[in-house]
Amino acid sequence: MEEELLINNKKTSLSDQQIITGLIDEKDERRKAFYQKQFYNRYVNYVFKGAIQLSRNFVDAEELAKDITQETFIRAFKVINKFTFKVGVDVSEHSFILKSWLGVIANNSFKTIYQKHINEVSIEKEQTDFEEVVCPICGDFLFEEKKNLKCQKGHYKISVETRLTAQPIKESVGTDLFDSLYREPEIEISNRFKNKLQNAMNLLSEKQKHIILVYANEGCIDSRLHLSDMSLKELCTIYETTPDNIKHIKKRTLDKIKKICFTP
Amino acid sequence: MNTEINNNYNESEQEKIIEIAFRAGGFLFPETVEEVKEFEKNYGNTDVILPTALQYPTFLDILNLNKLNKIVEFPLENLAMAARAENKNQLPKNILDLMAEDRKQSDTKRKFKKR
Repeated sequence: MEEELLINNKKTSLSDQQIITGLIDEKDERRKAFYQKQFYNRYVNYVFKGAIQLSRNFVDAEELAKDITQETFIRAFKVINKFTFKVGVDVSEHSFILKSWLGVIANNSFKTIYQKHINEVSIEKEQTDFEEVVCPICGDFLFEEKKNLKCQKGHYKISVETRLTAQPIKESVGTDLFDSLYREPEIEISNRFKNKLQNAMNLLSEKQKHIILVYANEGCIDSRLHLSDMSLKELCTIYETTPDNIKHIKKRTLDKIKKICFTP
Repeated sequence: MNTEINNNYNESEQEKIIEIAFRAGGFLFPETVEEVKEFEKNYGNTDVILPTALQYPTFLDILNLNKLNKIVEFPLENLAMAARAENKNQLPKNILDLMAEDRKQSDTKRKFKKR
């Protein structure tokens, strides 16, 4: 009965914590679906808005934004059982924490969705069960390296051997999720600079925009840092080119952006 | 505090600023609490009109229905419901993609079980 009242009443009084608890603990699939819809209704506008912002630089922006939004929620619900609010975090921060977590997942979703969006190239990933081959923290696909399946950002690692057995052993390596969600900004960016960046992006081709955003997503804009092998391989496959050429395109694109953004 | 970005930065600093600006400017999703707050300051009051496909998450219904019925093959009657919900004569692309994915997963599961 209570559930019916909440479904019919658009405005729910459920807190973020209650929704997350419901999503994680609820065993009945129908009741779980109720919590999924509550979570979805609460955050879909935010995710779609972010997706529209991201997609505005690409052809068929609305379709891309829709796909990114759907993929983000699908991935989020797959890894929600690993999510928890850190003890002591103020309730007023919960919404921001969830949005930043969804942002991590959405940026990873963009990579996959954009590949499908621009052509029919599919990067084959061996998987028998979706839950076992995505990072439980950021929702990104795991890649295989030396008999381990790892997350590109270093959140999660599981050995290939144990993945195939009934009881996988999980090792958490690298960054704690909540530490990464609370990075202090080193510098605040003025609107003037953002406009210059937008002007620079408007002058780039789709390919250049895509490549530079993949680098930015992995925090590799700095020339001294290298893109992950998996992302580089995916870009090479999409654009049928060599890693050196991708790096060359990135450098030229970055030089163009710098010229516009840092010229008075 | 908004630091005015000048032209006296070295290459490395310029690259760092550009990377930060990609998130702050909405070119990528914000990934930290502070970035989200900044994003909301700039875009929080912008209204978005959700497209029909997102107003009601039929894709979630489809995913959950598979779990409830434990059906590996995608049921035809649900496809029809999806098409009517979208008010179109053809199946939406996201439904077709889900069908293909389900077929692929069911084939893989069958192979895995045979081992």
